[in-house]
Amino acid sequence: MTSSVEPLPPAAAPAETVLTAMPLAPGIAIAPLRFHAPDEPDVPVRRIAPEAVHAETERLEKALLATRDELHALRTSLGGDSAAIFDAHLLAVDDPDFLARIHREICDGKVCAEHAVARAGAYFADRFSKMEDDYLKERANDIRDVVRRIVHALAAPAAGGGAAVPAVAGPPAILVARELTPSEAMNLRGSGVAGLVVESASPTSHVAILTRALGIPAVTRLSSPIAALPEGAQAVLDGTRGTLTIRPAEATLSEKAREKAVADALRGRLAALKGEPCRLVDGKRVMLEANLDMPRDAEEALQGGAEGVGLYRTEYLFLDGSGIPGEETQFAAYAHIARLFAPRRVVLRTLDLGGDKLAGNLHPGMESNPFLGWRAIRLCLGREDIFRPQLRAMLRASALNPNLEIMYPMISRAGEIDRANALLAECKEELRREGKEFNENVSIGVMVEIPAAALTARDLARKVAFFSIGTNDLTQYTLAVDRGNEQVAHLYDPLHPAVLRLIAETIEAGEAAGIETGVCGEMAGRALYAPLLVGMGAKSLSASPRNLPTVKAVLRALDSTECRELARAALQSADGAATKERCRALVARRAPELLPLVD
Amino acid sequence: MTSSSPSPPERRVRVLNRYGIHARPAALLVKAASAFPDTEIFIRKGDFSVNAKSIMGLLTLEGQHGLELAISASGPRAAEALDALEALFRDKFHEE
Repeated sequence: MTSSVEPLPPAAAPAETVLTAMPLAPGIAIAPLRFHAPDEPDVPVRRIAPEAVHAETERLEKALLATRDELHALRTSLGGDSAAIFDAHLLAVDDPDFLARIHREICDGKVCAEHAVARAGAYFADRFSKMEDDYLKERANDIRDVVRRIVHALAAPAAGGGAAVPAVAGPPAILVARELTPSEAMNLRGSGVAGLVVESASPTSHVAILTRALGIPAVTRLSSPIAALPEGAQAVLDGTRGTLTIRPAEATLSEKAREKAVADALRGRLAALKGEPCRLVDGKRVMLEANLDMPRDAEEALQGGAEGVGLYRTEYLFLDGSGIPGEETQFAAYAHIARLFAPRRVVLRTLDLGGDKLAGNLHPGMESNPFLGWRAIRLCLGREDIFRPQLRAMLRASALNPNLEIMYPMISRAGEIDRANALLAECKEELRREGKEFNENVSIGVMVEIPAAALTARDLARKVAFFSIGTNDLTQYTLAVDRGNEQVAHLYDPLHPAVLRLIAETIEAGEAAGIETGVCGEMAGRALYAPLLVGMGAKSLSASPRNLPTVKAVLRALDSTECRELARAALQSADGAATKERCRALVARRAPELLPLVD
Repeated sequence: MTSSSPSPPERRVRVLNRYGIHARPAALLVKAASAFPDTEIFIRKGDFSVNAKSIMGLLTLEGQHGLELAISASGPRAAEALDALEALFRDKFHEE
């Protein structure tokens, strides 16, 4: 496929034309092309009398409140990255400089609120659009979007939340637009728009994130100017490969339609599995849980069919710029997740940060190698003033969910577990005296991510109720590779026999002591590797919510014997590449239709 | 206490993030600054000074990678505020 500019043939010769583009959101859409009419509300420009300034300011306040509510509602209906887009809008609506400017326009300029908002917005939008940085240039769109929303709210104060920006209605179409604001992108949902061609958008832009989240195929940077596209012509948009086929021939149409049907069926199949347990063909059960970074990921986890939370990272509480969180703040967070998932398993991990990352920089001497430094359990055991409130908060949350468990990270020796448990016992005694409830039998486990822990897992297993293998760090430490270092990142290989052997030994040691082992590293979310982990004896896999459906689909197609055989061969293999091939061959044999999904 | 106090002391910081002060770091700065509601905090690039509690202001700063900026704070808990913001710059806003 060349990427040179191709002139379109004249309308009188309706031959099939294939244009190349940059993929933005995957999938296939087959529909007529339609140009997007951007929403430009009429902004009234009225002078107001000095006596009316107060009333106008009140009008503005009401509209701002309504706008905030709408943005909050939009945020809640989305998850992950998509929600962050509207976070930026919310910050803009609350921005002191923006608001100060609007007020000045009303009070000093004596103009109506709509005009004031538009002018203040234009000032900033103008500054942003003149910037070199593409990312910042796009912020101009955010501001225009927020201005439109506020102006709509001013025009229709009685309207309920979420209806401010008119939806794009109509029959199925592939929308062609110069640009699309986040609000307009949201309105594509259920609008009949099957696909989107946007003139110029980066893969990390809002429109890219939203179209992916909404499942609408999209492309950008077409090899031909979009203005020249024939409105109304039938087209096939391939957001996966990055092509737009105008006036497709019969053969193309049927081929693409078939591809689309397969993809839709697959997506439907995965969605249908949501309520199904993860059971192998012979009935063996594997728990599929979610790794959560932030509370708002919890919704996505439940949507993806997570049977619990295998790893709840608590670092976000310590990283939001407001210092070390107190016990109450932490308890509120842990209680929320405990209740949300009860009675399903929720594993809270104690702080896994380095001193250099905590507010106020607890470790003034710059560590030359923080990765091997004072962090996680080491820091916590050295700073009881930080560890105790967290343990207390977690214990209190255990009263709300019988299967809430606590896990210590970066364990390298049994002594650490003993000391941490001693502190835990003291916290329990305190809570008992204070009359605060907690689960007396709360399960305590450890992350196995340091090779020393894996190699002495037999000893550690006697002191804990479960293991959770952190394959990311285990791989880095074992192979002495920093994934973030571009020079050596290619050496990072979780399928390296050394890593696999450590995983297998850990699981075996656990089994010998009667405890279960789960895997919470990235490996657990790779459907290609999941059978390997299951074959080695992992009882649960915890991963990013969006990976769970595919993992489930693959495991449900296999039986335990195959997985065990895969593991056996892998442990005897001399290199990771051969193991990867075996993994792929297994999926190709048993679930070939899932192969495109497992990379 | 005094009527003609000198301009508040400044702390120099450097933008270490690969992608500079884009929306996420700016949001973190606003959040950190907003934790000190009675303190006035400004970030200066050359002659151009912005309110650290303003996301728009911060973004118009165009804080590219490698840029040196100056933070100043006046009012209650000024030193604490400066510490908090300085830490964010030093930690590259937790992006690696």
